[in-house]
Amino acid sequence: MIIPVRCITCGKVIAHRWEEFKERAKEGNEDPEKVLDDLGLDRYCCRRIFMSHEDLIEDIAPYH
Amino acid sequence: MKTEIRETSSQNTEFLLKEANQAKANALRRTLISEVPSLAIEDVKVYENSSVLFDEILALRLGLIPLKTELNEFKLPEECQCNGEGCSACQTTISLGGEGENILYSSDLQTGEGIEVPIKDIPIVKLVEGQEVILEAKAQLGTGKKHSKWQPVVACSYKTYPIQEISEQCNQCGECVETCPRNVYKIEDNELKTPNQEKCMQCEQCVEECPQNAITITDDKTKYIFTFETDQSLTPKQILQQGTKQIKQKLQEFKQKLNQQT
Ligand SMILES: [Zn+2]
Repeated sequence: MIIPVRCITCGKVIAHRWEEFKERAKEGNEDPEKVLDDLGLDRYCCRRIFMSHEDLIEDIAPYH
Repeated sequence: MKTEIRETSSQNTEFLLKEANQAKANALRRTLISEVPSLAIEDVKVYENSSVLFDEILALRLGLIPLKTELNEFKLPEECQCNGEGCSACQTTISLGGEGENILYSSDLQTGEGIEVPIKDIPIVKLVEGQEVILEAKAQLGTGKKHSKWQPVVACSYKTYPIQEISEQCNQCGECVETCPRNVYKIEDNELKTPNQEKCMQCEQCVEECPQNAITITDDKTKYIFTFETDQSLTPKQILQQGTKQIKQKLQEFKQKLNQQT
């Protein structure tokens, strides 16, 4: 729906990194691995949230 | 117990705990996780929410946003004169309002004096045209024991200090240099050295690979490499000071209780 504020597993605050990740790796064509390293998301628990997240709120919001 | 600070920034800390033992290191770890208080949003009163996120989800997201404050400005609700009912000594009001088309960020939170939102660009909710959010929240001090939103540390852990013992049987074949996933070993001047001794995670792959059986992995049980990150609600220094204070206080209480018994 919307990016979780914190990593579900370790509790690190990750939401503020999402927009940059989306811009550079999802919409741009940078290597997601490098972008995640740049953003300081070292642990795989935080990384999988970014890898598997889809911003559904943008699709749903107009129909509410 | 002595400490040697290795690395410290606003978020990450690594230090070496010396003259300690397993019990002391773990007591410190558990205290940092569950006993050091920090500020977080607890109750949310929603006046208007026509966004796609339910009130509960909105409240949960607000609770997880780190808030920065001086610990002596507030009291824990259970230690407050108001008996936890909520007064200005243990509670502060934070409000949030906005309408679409817009994204509400943590920087849009209206906080009272002395309270800061350290991470300003956390998206809370995305609003499209015609949607509106108006709410008022109460923030309190709390501890990680009750809810992890009050836990100031992230990934707080320690490991024992690894030691690689190399016997005289070593013939510098280099098998261990190849196999070590942490690059602990290096051959220098016809001698096997361990430049990255502390990086060792004691997987013992080198012990298995060594044709001469020259390596044994042990650890120094009096030294611990301790690391933690913060959620930026407190600095690493504040967290450690508060943590050690809590341990001391608890031990004193324990001693008092024991004395009463006898
Ligand atoms: Zn994580």
